[in-house]
Amino acid sequence: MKVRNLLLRAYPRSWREEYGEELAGVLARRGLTFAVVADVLGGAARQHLDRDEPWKICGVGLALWFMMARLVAVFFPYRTFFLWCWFCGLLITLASGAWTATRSKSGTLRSTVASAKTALIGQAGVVVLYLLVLPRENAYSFQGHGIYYWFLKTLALGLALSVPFGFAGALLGRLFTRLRKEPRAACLSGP
Amino acid sequence: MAETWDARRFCIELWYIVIRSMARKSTAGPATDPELLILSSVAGGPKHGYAMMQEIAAFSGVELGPGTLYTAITRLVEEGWIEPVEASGRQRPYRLTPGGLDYLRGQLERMRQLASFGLRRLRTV
Repeated sequence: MKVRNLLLRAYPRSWREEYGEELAGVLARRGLTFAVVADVLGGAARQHLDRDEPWKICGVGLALWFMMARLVAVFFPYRTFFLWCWFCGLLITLASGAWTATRSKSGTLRSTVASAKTALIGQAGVVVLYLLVLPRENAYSFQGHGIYYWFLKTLALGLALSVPFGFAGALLGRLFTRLRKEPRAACLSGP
Repeated sequence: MAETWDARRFCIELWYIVIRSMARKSTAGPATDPELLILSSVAGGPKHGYAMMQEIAAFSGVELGPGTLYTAITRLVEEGWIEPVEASGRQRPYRLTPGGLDYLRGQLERMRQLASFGLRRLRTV
């Protein structure tokens, strides 16, 4: 029973309120095999992708990406690698803006703010990693200024860069929505 | 001489494998599409999730997992192709809507055309 409850809790709350009891009923009548557990978890992931705010999903993705990158950077501390990590991170903030713009009816501003939130969550991941795992006396990262200076600098840089990238993502998202809504035949036939 | 490890080549090959696996289409065919199976099941009358699973397994041999079943049910409800019927118990039955009936008819007609065309071609082989 405990495993079934845990499986149900993997779904978003709004989904559980609507379908949770039914799924619990089906799970109670079926044996729990590895395939069933994997299937239910896959369904939960799909519902999160469909229902959660894009900035939350992208933010968690960005945090995981930055954490992984910082861990790899301990053994591979090259500037090119850092630049590549930042570039991929900025692409994630761009995707966050575009995804928000395709989903919500509100416009560019909300999508840009969503990208900034994504950047904040992503940077929070790095901060947590530094506080928990990595050695704090890393001269390459702190450059003699101390850990709090580095935190603030990274946070400010991430936020500052997320705004233009989020804005660009929002414009891309709106363009994509417009192209998808307009009938293809009307586009092809011209004015 | 020991072969040196080429990181660039490794990345390209990895990327190729990822792209190939992403581009691979399902080999199961349209007759195993969960949404079509559910629509076909509820076309016979309102049914709850577990009854759908049992009937689908009986008429098509496809065993839908609970997660796949409710992902498809959620999408069908959002599209307006099925709707829940008020029920007092834990399990809520679903019924086909007029829109769902049109969609199902269209999809099955397309499958019928494809099947008859393919079978005609096979006779000439």
